Amino acid sequence: MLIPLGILAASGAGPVGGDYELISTTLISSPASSVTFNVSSFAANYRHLQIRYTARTDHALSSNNLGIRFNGDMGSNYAYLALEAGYSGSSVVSGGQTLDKGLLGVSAGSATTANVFAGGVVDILDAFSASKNKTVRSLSGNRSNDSVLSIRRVLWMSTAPINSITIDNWMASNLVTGSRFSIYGIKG
Amino acid sequence: MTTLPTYDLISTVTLAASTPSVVISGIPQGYRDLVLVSTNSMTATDSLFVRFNNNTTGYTAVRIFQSGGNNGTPVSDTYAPAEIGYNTTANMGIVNIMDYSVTNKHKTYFTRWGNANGTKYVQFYAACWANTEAIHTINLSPSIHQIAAGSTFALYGIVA
Repeated sequence: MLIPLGILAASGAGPVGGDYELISTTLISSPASSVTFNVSSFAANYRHLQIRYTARTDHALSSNNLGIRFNGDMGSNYAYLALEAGYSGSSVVSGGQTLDKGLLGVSAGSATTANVFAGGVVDILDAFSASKNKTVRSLSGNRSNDSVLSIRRVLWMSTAPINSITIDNWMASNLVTGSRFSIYGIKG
Repeated sequence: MTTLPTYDLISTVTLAASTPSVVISGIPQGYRDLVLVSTNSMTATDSLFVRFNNNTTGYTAVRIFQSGGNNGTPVSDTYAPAEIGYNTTANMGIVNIMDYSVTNKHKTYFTRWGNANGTKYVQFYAACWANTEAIHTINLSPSIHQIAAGSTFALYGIVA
């Protein structure tokens, strides 16, 4: 069944509702060590946040990890749990230890085939709550010469409302041109 | 800072009769990501594959899946193209297609689907279509059998 959209769809149509809104997008145009979103002004507007990304770094591995911190917190206040599949075919469940940033999701590295960027969808639930530790869930992956699919949960052990989010590469390398991070607010 | 409502419904369809494929064409290029949401069933057990631009090559995927109900053990392997259904009743799947309109990236996408009837499944895929073309068409088709009547597909666009 063919469903042509040239007539049915309004190309780039205007928004039809205000419950899921783009806050901002950062498109990397030169190598950058991190991306930061300041979200304190949106506490009254949204309940949850979502980050959608495509990422590639200049690290030598084909796949590596992105890290996340909230409110500039560099203390050992993060924990994570991951269910992962790798090219070797093994399933791995890891996590539990306390870290100084959250193990957010997968990025592609410089050894990955050209033009390949890992992708991820990250949900930050009750981001502005002043009574809950913050829970993050992510689905990310890179399917190229070194493949990883990762389903992760990150816990930030703080009840402070989130006012800033910083994402960087776990291995202290740079995000390369073309990497993209978009953050959305979700009402609730 | 000005925010922009998004997550726009582009198209939705409910099949009145079984069909060997669903083709969603003429996808507008004004968004950054696409999300396809589906409830579907097959006329006989068969993988419902996701492909793009009428192209049958260049697909790779890694997946985690669990089957067999409560005693299933998660297994991972490579299996392509990614799929969003298999059983003859009540498969539910979501596909996130990242940077679909960008013409200097291979297309990275994720699917997750599940079914709690019959042989129960939960599957997650990270997939790649090794092609820098902007996606203008989504092709959904099983290998041999058909997509059953009553199956639904809704396509959303997200700006960035």
